[in-house]
Amino acid sequence: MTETGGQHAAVDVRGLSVTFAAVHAVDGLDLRVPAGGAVALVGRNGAGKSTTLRVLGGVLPPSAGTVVVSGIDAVREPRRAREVVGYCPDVGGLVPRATPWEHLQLAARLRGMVGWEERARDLLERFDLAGASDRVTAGFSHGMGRRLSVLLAAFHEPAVLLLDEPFDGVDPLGVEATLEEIRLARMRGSAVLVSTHLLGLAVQACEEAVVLRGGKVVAAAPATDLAGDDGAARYRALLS
Amino acid sequence: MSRAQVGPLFALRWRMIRSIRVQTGLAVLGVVALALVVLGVIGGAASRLGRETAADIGLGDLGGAIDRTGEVAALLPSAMVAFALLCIVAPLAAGGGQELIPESQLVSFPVRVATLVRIGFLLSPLNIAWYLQVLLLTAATGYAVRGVGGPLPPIGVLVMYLVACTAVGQAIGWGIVGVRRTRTGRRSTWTFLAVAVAVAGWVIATDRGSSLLDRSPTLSVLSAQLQAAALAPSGWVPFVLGALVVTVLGYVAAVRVAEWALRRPGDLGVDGPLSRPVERRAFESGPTAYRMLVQVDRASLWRSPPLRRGLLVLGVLPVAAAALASLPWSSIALLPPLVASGAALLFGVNAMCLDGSGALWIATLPHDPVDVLRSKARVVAEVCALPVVLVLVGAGLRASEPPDLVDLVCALGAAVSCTALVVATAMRLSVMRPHRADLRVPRDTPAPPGTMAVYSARLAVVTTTVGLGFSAATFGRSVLPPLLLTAGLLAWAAYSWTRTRRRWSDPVVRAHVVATVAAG
Repeated sequence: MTETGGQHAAVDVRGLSVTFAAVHAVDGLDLRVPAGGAVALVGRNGAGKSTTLRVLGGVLPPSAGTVVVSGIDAVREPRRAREVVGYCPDVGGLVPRATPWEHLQLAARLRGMVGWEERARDLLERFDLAGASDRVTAGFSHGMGRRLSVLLAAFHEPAVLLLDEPFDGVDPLGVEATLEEIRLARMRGSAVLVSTHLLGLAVQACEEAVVLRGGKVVAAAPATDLAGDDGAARYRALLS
Repeated sequence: MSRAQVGPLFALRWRMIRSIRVQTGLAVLGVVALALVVLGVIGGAASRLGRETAADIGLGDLGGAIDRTGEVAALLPSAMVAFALLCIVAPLAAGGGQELIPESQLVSFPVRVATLVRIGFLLSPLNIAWYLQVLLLTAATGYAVRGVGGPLPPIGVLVMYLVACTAVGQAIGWGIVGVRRTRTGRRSTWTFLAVAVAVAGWVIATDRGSSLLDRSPTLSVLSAQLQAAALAPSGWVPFVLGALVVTVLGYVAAVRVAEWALRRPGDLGVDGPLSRPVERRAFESGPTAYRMLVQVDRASLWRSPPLRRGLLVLGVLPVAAAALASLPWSSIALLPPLVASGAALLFGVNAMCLDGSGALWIATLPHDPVDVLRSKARVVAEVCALPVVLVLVGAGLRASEPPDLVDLVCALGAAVSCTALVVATAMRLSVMRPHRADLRVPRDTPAPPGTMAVYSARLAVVTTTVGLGFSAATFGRSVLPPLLLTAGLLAWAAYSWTRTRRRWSDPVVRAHVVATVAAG
């Protein structure tokens, strides 16, 4: 892990750029998340939040910059990086005709996990999906799908937990389960990055907030600075 | 009203094709397809005229231009029966009819049921089997049906028959969709299918196929064609008027039946079979990552209604047709390529869409990305090989003559090499031209209709050419030519697969494929 100001940075992104044709989705982004810390990525649609998380998740290769997760260069050693990262994508992220249990089986096999069944059952209970664990996910509601995506990201207790819109369309019990999972991950020493449009939940889940605009970081502050009406007003000012 | 919706929807679909090159290609394909039909008629008529002229000036059977008009004319009613069956099976397999734009993308638009039916009707020619049969029937009519009025009047009669069959097929297809919305309806359709298969088996086993086809109602179509060719209105006018009435009634019935089918609540709930739990399978002892991916892909395949239905059609219809026709081995060698390409069109040409948005999640798991590609290729190969084996066995057991070694080598060579070639082509297309596709309801296809038509044409051209090569080889006495052809095609497939694998190893290419198939 990278030593930054006395703190271990489990996520260390420097000069990250991602270009699609002529569009700069992410433009020279720097970001650090300490082990045990939680950072909220906020900003308007198209600000580069999901793209940043996709790079960290190993789905998208960066056009430029360095990405280190838990001490592993994610660009040079993507496979090792994926071992320490848990990623909940912003859209779906579920194999439509596989069941939650089959998702867990596949994840356990590819991650080389043994004795995983107990944790799987526990997570399914906590996310209220035990009753649906043998139903294909194509029949899930949006909220159920989101809950399962968070569950899968957290399943192997990753050193870096990446959650893209984990609260989107999720009921209050699902939100609670997700917040609890973030809390437990931080207690284990994992770094958590949450991309969301829901400021209130971002404040609850994270200690720091990073505001993106046009693929660049325009502000980084304690998450509590975005709390309440004043925080929302400050946030809106940063977006325009 | 529905007319007012059809135009804008076609225009929207056309605008959704972002590449001018693809638009041009599709326009050219449409013109070529139409030109081929016209050329088929002209070619058929010219071939007959040439033979007759040669006979008139005393050259006899010029260059082997034997008079087969009688044989071809005798086969026309059977070919028309096959077309009528296809018109029923195609919309049935497609869950009512083909879609121009997926239903899920049109939910916020007040699209009328009549519009859906009309679009399904207009998209019928995009089904390669429909088109090839039309091509065959028009060319055969041009060749075999002759009279003072030239080839056009009998072609006109044929067109009326084709349109009427297509309209009635749509009505039946939508009817089955409605019937299957309840448990009793589903049981009834399965029972009907089982009885139909048993009857077909009995007809084949007792060699009653020919005598049944000799009494086929489509004989009246041929009769009307002959009357039209002779410009005798009393024979063809009643038929044309009857066909017109059947077309109108078929279309109106299709709209009414579709409205009923889509409104019928059914007993499976909103998500149908998706809301039912599936049996949990034991975690196999120590499977490799690749085997686990294969298991997930197989499950994705068998749980998809359009894929299940397509496989059922491919596993039953060609086998029954081949067994009924009692083909020579030169024709049997043509079957594996056609069946393999049909199977690849079920999902193989966009194999990555099996993972849907889960592709994004799988990409974040620690694994060798090539395993994902190999897994998809294996499942595509299984889907292609299964109907190929079935059709070979079915046709082989009922072949018109016992095979010699060359026949067997040709048939097996065609099966193995074409399956490999089709899989390699499908995987290349999957990586180079990914599409988002749900494959959730029977009407879903792995790619937009125009793209599917292009893929069908490409695969049909390649596999028919290869099939003709093996078919020609059955007339030789040596096994060397078919063995060499097989080896060459396998080498070609291996080269194509290696290139696809290399392309897939590029993280940028993978990211593009994943982002496309996972797009929400």
